[in-house]
Amino acid sequence: MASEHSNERLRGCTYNISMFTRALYFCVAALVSSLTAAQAPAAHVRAELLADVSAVQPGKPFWLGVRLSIDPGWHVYWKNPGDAGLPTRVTFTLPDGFTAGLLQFPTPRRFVQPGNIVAFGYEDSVMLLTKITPPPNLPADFQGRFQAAVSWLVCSDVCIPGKATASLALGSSTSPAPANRELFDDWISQLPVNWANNPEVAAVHSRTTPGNANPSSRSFAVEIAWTHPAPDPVDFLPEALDDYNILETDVKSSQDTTVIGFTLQPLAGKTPGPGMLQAVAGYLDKDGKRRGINISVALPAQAANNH
Amino acid sequence: MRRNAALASLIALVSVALIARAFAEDPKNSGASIGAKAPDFTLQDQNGKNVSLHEFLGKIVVLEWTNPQCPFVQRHYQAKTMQTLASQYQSKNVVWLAINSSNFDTNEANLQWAAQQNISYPELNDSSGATGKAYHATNTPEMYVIGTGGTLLYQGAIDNDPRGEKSNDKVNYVRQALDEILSGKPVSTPQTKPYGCSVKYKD
Repeated sequence: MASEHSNERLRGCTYNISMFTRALYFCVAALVSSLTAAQAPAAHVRAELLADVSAVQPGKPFWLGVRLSIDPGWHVYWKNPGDAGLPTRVTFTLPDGFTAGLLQFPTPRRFVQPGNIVAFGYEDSVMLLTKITPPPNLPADFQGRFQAAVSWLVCSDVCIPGKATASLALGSSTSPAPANRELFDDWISQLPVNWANNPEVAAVHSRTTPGNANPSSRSFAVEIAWTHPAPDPVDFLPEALDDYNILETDVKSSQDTTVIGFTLQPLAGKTPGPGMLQAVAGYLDKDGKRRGINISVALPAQAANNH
Repeated sequence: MRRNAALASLIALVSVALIARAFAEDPKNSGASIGAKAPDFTLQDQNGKNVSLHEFLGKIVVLEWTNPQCPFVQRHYQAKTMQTLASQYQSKNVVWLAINSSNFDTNEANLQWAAQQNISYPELNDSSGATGKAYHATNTPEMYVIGTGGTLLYQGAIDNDPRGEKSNDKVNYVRQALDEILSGKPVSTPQTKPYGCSVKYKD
């Protein structure tokens, strides 16, 4: 349990008192973590649970964020890890009557590793977000503990699976009690949005193209028209598809247009029905902030192939 | 607006040509595919002895992409997934070859790993990455099953349990493919998505 761990660290303060600076650091860290969020130790990744409120209002949704701090040179993975790796996973445990929305992943980076192995993930830090809705009849004396069980694979030259449980205690309030506003605004702005809600984008079109010689594969082009010169690079970040391999993509920007080309190849033995590919076009805006646009591509039913 | 559309079409056409060229050059789009002949190779085993795929025509061959430093590989070796399969099918005309395409691989490291894990099958050194790329192996572990005629019959994950948390509904795809091949049936799941660490290629 994360809370027991904090208590252990608090007890440790009395033993370490002679090593003044270190002891002070540990005491402060332990005190802060026992009061706010329990920080779980793990190799190369530290997880903490934060909220954008310091107290909960009845029926008023708020954000919970799982912030992962990642050692330099290491990365964790997006919901689609790419050619290898594992998605980062979060399971929330909430007080009675609270509900959580979907786990939302900020726009990831695209890494190309030797051997042209493509991965999607995060370096340095990331905050995975979910919207929490409290019950409308929350009692005035509410005190609750929110918990996030996080598991990840962190990789550099080697990969190490890790997990941690982070938690956070919140009481209730009848008036708004914002907290961590800048931090949450920063990460929320990195969540992918639909292009119609992004003033940088004029239009997004997708179509099938003749492309690959392999008869069972199918090529697509997604065209993004920008309201200003196209950012460069633009990363194509597809979600995983059960029945297809997504072959290498090609992104070309020219003036105010970006064209993303990619080919889908059904797994041998599969004849996929109609479906949708969900993807994100990731880029850095003029201020160097990571942004993402949601892209949906309709996949027609696949004709039976030879295998 | 119309000029924009015309420009966009031109860009699209040029892109398609560029994409087509990019695909032709990408190792992931050439080489091993299900139903085609598996690429031949000659690699050194842990004792420095050359081992070639073509030596095993007439036998079923399982290729296991491996890296002893990868926790997914370590988990399967602790559970004896690979060792058990290899020994159970050894008497059924099945040859097991482990291939390490890590840039840091050495025969000595393979010898040490084989001794530590009590492995009797070859641990092949592909530190150049040439064989891994010919098969477009991306993960460790990643499995290939080759039929007696040298045709690739299965590529993908060892099982359907990336996180090692399943019990009842676990399917070992290699065992399933071997059983089907040995009883003369077509392989029902010839391709799955491998999971694990990325292969640590040199370049």
